[in-house]
Formats: sequence, structure tokens, C-alpha cells
Amino acid sequence: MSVFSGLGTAAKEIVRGGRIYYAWVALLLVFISLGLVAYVGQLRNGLGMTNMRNQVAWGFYISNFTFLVGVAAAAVLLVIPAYVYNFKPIKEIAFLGELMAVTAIVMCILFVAVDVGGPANLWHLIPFIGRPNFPVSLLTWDIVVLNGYLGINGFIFFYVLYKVSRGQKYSRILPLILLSIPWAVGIHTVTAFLYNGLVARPFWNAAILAPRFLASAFCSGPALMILVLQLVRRQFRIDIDGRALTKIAELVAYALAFNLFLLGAEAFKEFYGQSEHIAPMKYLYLGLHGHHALVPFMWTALTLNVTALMLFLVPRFRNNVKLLNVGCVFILCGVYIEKGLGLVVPGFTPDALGEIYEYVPSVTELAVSLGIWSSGALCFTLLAKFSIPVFIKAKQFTLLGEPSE
Amino acid sequence: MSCKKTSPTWAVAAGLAWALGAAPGCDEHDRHAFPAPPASVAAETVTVEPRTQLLPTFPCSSRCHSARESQPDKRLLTEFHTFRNTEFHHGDPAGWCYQCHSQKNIDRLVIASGELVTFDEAYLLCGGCHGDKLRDWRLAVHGKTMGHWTGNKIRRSCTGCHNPHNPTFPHLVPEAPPVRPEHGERM
Amino acid sequence: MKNDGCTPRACPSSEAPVAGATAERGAPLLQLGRRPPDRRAILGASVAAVAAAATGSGCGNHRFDAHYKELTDEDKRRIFERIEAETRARTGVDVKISAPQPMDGVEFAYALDLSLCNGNRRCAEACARENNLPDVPKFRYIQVLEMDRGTLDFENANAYYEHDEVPVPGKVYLPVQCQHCANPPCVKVCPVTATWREPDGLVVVDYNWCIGCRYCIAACPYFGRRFNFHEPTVRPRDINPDQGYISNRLRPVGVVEKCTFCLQRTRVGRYPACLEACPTGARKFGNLGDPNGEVRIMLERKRVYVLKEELGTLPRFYYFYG
Ligand code: SF4
Ligand code: SF4
Repeated sequence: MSVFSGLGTAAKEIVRGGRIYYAWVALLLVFISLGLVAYVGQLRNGLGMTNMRNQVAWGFYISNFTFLVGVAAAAVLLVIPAYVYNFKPIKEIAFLGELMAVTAIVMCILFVAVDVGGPANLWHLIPFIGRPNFPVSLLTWDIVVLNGYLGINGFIFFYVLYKVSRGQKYSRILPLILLSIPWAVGIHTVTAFLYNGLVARPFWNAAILAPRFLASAFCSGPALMILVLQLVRRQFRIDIDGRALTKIAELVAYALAFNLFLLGAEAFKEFYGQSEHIAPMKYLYLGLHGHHALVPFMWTALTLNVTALMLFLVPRFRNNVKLLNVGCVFILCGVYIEKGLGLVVPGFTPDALGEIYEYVPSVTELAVSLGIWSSGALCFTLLAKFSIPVFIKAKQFTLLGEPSE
Repeated sequence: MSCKKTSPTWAVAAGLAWALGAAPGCDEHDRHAFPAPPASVAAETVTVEPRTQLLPTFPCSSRCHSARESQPDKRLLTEFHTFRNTEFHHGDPAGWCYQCHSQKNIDRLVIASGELVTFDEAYLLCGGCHGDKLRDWRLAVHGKTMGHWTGNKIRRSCTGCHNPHNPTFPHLVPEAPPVRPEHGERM
Repeated sequence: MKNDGCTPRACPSSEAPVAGATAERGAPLLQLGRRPPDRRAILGASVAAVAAAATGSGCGNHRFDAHYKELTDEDKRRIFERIEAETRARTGVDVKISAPQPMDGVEFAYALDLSLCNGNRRCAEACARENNLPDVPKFRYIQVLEMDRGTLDFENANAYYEHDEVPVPGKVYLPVQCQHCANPPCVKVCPVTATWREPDGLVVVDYNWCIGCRYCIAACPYFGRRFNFHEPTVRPRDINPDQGYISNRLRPVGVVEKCTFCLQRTRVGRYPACLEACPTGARKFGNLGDPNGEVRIMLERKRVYVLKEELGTLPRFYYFYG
């Protein structure tokens, strides 16, 4: 019963809202429709509507997928201090991390779904009905861990919400919350292995790939978190302890430094060694045989990341909200380029027989991706809209102005 | 062999090596683990593609050469064979028709032993100098084999591909290349 | 087999004048109920219906065909007849679909004499005709790479050369196609086992089962696979009617395809089309199980070069210098 009444309240919460809220939702719906139109075009005419070709078989969709797996995995960055170290300021907002994980995974699944050539054949992946190639294909692993992660975080989120709304404790699912920590590392590692295991692609087939994935995920995810938390703070007029933000920022700084170190290690190996495997690296940072579509992006990414590292390393800077936000935006853009197109495309450029096809996303790809990002944003908005008041009512949050401890 | 079929390499990659016991010693593929030959390897019959019927002016003897004397010494050819004067590029530039064609029987070739062979057996003549190629050709490692891999094979003779008077393989006009991939909806 | 109300016109993908492939996308989803129920349909329908509805291309009941390895002889007969009928309806060509089986004691291998290849691309064109490759978009299974003499460097190779005559002085040619690896990385990665290595060593794709994720393309070190990004179009007069179900039949858009060593020919004893077309005799094909076969003899007598041997893919395609 209470579930149903809960749903009713939720529905009411979702419909209610100010002008900004409506405008925001309407904008997202417009973007989603745009994406849908583009996707229908892609379905009718084939993936030729994208700029992917046999030489560069994966592009913008899989780039976004990879980036978002990182964002999803980074939710643990809130869970660890919250539940393992019982750091109260973060514990209050940990559920937002779970919410973000859920949203990111939904987007991941959408990005993979729009990338396949025969979506109507996707049932072949289902055990017993289809023939999933488990455990041999890393893609099936990825499907398992991503769906598992979605299930775990979705369950935690709704369970906690339910319990909180009834004023009960939810410590019974602590094991599940703890399980989500290694699981988050798992989704990102498996996604890294997806690329890592391909002997055909030297750019990916390096053991450093999985650690770099994790390092960059622990930059971008929390950076996004910091921004979203401030938005939530503004919109719902709740107090989110500033110490939570700086704590997250501190973690980001370490991850970012480590990420840059790993990049340096990779660059050293390639540029000092000068083997033929240097080609993708050259293509990224210097251009190869007159092709340099990604060069400006990669240098932008590098500059952004280094600047952000400077901002985050100095406590005086990271305690300044404005600079903190600038740093977060820098990191997001930097990692988005680096772990998106900067990861996927050079795997295929030059291709297995040395051919260079310069990939840039097509209008269809951009529109479909915009649609998916908007669906993600809509999903997050709606879920946040109906869950946060529940937490507020349950006094999970201290309202703005009161001391937090 | 059994290792090859049940290779656990994927399991290693999937991090399951320990779980599956990792079948020690099996992760090395035997590079020359050929399958056991079929119970009955089909008897091979090799037919050399006949050439004689393809020669437009054969038989030479009855068409023209009955009416003329053969000339054993090198000279500039006139009338029918004039193009051979410039075309001929094979071995010794001082070479002359009767190094290979039989002077006694213009419809035959003459091999090193003095025996006469037909134009269908030109490989016996070519092999006189190019022994290594003849050996490879007999083994089907050199030259073109057609027909069925299961047994009935047709082998193209030396002169099926090489012009004996100018044996360098001719230059060819290549087929058009594939089309480079392009951006956008154009294909 | 009945036509499930799948007229060519009802199918968006066959609006193209001569869409060569996609013989089997036809019935609008509404027709589902009228299909004779079969095992797969019942299991997969609910799931696939959602997906098909979402795609709007629910044409053709191939969405519910079982995996090739699970087809009974009866299933095969039914599916082959359906494909034949649909191809006839759409292109006017009478084709014959077959699925010849591997022979005992046979493992196929290819050998190519690099000292003979002169880059004329006859192989690639013969392959295109035999295997019903589209001319728009024009891709080929065989990439003939032109390289500078003295190098074997993919990065400076050119597959798009155009000359009045080949060979060009100072250049050498290296044709590359699927190497039919004995340890094929492409097979491992396929999430739905839509591609596999047959007992006779042929690496094949079930076009009805492939979901088009292109993971196998990412995994192949030899550019051995092609994805149908566009609706493949073959002119009806170019269609080779002798078609293998897992080899050269007309392919739909959105699936991966590849060289199968002309399975439809080689499993009935013939040589691959590329070999027959090669004017230089550089191409050799045979059974590794036959000690007197061309490839075994070549392996014993010549020095062999295998592409990217260090990757451990164990190609069954050997390059040698004759
Ligand atoms: S060459 Fe490529 S497609 Fe062919 S078997 Fe090897 S990995 Fe697979
Ligand atoms: S594209 Fe098709 S054959 Fe290739 S991995 Fe994906 S499902 Fe398998």
C-alpha cells in the first residue's frame, strides 16, 4: 500500500515545480525528440548515417559509453567515505551518488543499444533464449556487470528512499552498499578489459589501460558530482556541507595526479621506444601522415587536466568554490575528450592494415548522443525531484543555515 | 590436438584461469598440428592443360613449313615471323629457333637429350634450364592449378602463362580499387 | 513457405531499387500473430517484438530464426526456401541456397606466393562477383596492399593505388584477406556466438544471428571483416545464384560479413574464386590434412611468412617466396 501511496506522492512531486524546472524539462524533451528522430533515420538507413566505417568501427557512441561507465563507477567515491569511514557530511548525500550511478548506467546501455546494427536481434544476448558467449566474450561480462550494478544501485536507492520515508533504519542493506564498491571497480575494469584484450589494437593492448581507466573515472565522476551537488543545494535549499565538497575535491586531485602520471608513463614508453606502435599516439598528439583531426582536442584535454590539477592541488584554490567549479568543468571536459574519442578512435587509427580514415562524429551521431544525454539528465532530474523532498522530510538533511553536526 | 580444441586461453583472459584449473601445458598451440589425413586421401589425377589446340597456326608443318627449307643459321626473320625479331628476349640473345624447335619436325620441340616432345609437353623443354621451377611446378608450388582440390587437378603448363619467346610475365591493367570510406551519407 | 505478407514494398529497407540483400526483412510486426508458431518464435517473440517495434524494421521473421548450429534439416529447408522466394520476389533472380557440410579430415589453408603477385586485383574482383559483394558501397574482402620494395610496412602501404599497368617498378604487393586464424580473436569476442570456426577451419558468420556490434572488427588484426553500414546493393545480373547460407548469400544491412574461402565452392571440392582468377598463379589452396596437398608441400619446401605472427592468431594463410 505504502508503495503505491509513495508513488502517488512521487508523481505529485514530479509535476510540481517552478518555471525554471518546467523550462528545463521541456528543453530536455526537445533534445530527446531530436535524438529520437535522428535514431529513426539511422534505423531506416543503417549505421551508414554515422561516420563510422569499417576502418573505424566504433566512434562517438562507444566513446560516450566508456566515459559514462567511468561516471557510474565513481559513485563509490561517495560510498567509501560515507559508509566505510562514516564521514557524515558525505553520508548525507551518498544517495545522490547512487542516483547518478543509476542514471549513468542507463545512458551506457542506451549508447550501446544505438550502436548495434541489429537492435531487433539483441535478444540473442539473453541466456537460454539466445546464445550469449559467456564467459568468453568480455562484452557479455560487461552486460552482466553493468546490469548488476544498475540493479544494486537502483535497489539501494529505492530501498533507502522507502525506509527513510517511513522513518526506519536501512542498515540491513549495508552489505549490499559495501558490495557496490568492488562492483564499481569491476564495471570499470571489465570495460577496460573490453579494449585491453584485443591483440589487434596495440593502443589498447597495454596493461596500463585498466588503471588509467580507474584513475580517470575517479576524476570525472566526482567532478560531475561536485557540480551536481551544488545545483541540488541551490535548487532544494538544503545544506550540503562544504567539507563534503572539499573532501571529494581532494580525492579528485589524487586521482588526477595519478592519471597524469600514467599518461606520462605511456607517452614515455611510446616516444622513447619509437616502435611502430607509436602511430596511434602520434595520431593523437602530433598528427600522422597529414591527418590531425584529434590533435587540437587532445592538447586541449591535456591543458585542461593540468590546469585542473594545479587548481585542486593547492588547498587555497580548491576551497574557493568558484575555482573549484572551474576545475571541475576543466576535468570533465578533459576526461571526456581523453576517455571518449581520445580512447576509442586511436584504437582504429591507423587501422589493422595501416589505413587512416579520419573519424569525426556525424550529425546523426551528435543528435542521438544529445538525446541520450538529455534522457539521462531527465531521469536524474525526475528521480532527484521526488526523492530529495523525502529525505528532507525525514530530516536526513539539515536545512540551509543550521549547523551540520 | 586436443589442447588446440579446448584451449583455455579465453578463460585466462576472462580471469577464470584458476577456476578452471588452467589445464597446464595446453596454452601452447601446436603450430603444426595438422588434422589427421582423411581415411582415404582421394587419388590425385593431374592433367596438364593442353596447349597445342590453342595455337592458331598449328600444325606448322602442313600450314607453311612444308613449302620451305629450314635455315639453321640465325638471320633476320621475314614475312610471317617478323615480330619475333624484336620480341625475342629469352636467354642468349644469339639464340635461334632451332635451339628449341625441332629442325626435323617443326611441329615438335627438341629437348636437351635430343628427344622430340609436343607443344603440350613444353615444360620438359623449359625444365631443361629452369630445373628448380620445373620441380616446384610438378609439386604445384609454382604455376597455376585449377579444377578440384579434392583430386582432379588441372595444371597450367609453363607456356600457358609465359610467352616462351619473351617469358617475363606480362604487365597487366589492374582492376579498379575499392572506394575509400567517406564521411556522411554518401557511400 | 508462405510469404508472411511481406511484400517488398511493405519493407522500408527494400525501397531501394535493387537492394541486393535484406531478402528477409519483410512483414510488418502486426503479422506476427499469423506466423506459424515455432520454437524460437515463442521464446524470442516477446523480447524481440519490443526490439522490433522499437526499430520499426520488424520486417521478416528472420528475427526469430534459430542459430545456424541449432537448425534441423527441416528448419534449413524451410528457411532456405523462404530466402529463395524472397530473393526471387525482390530481384527476379532464381537463387539456390545451400549449406554444404565440412568434410572429415579436412582443414583448409591458403598460401600466396609474394614473388609472383603483381597487384592486378583480379582476385578481389572475382571474389566480389562470387560472393555477391555490393558495388555501392564498394568494399572488397581482399585488400591488395602496395608497398615500397624493401619494406613490409602496413603504415606506408596503399590499398587504393591506380596505375595503367602493374607491377610498378619499385613496388611490391601484398594481398590481405581473412586469414582464417586457428586461434581467431574475432570469434572469442563475439557476444552472441554469431561467428565461429568450423571444423574445417573456416571462420564464418551467421548473418541472421549477428547483432552488428562490430566487436569482432575491433578484434581482427588483419582487417578481415566488413560491416554493412549501408544497404548492400548488387545488380540483379551480377547476383551469383549459387549461394551458401553461411557464406555468399545476400546479406542484410547491419551485419558483419567476411571471406569464407568460398565455402560454397570449397566444400564441394572446388577452388576459391580468387585462386581461379589469379593470372599469375600466386595463389595456392588445399587441405592441411593431406600430406600431398599443395599447401603442405609448400610448407615443407618453402620459407613461409605469416602476418603478425607474434599475435598468436595462428593464421591458416601463409605467404611464401617461391
Ligand atoms: S583474419 Fe580476422 S576475421 Fe579472419 S579469422 Fe583471423 S581474426 Fe577472424
Ligand atoms: S558484429 Fe556480429 S559477428 Fe561480430 S562480434 Fe558482433 S555479433 Fe558477433
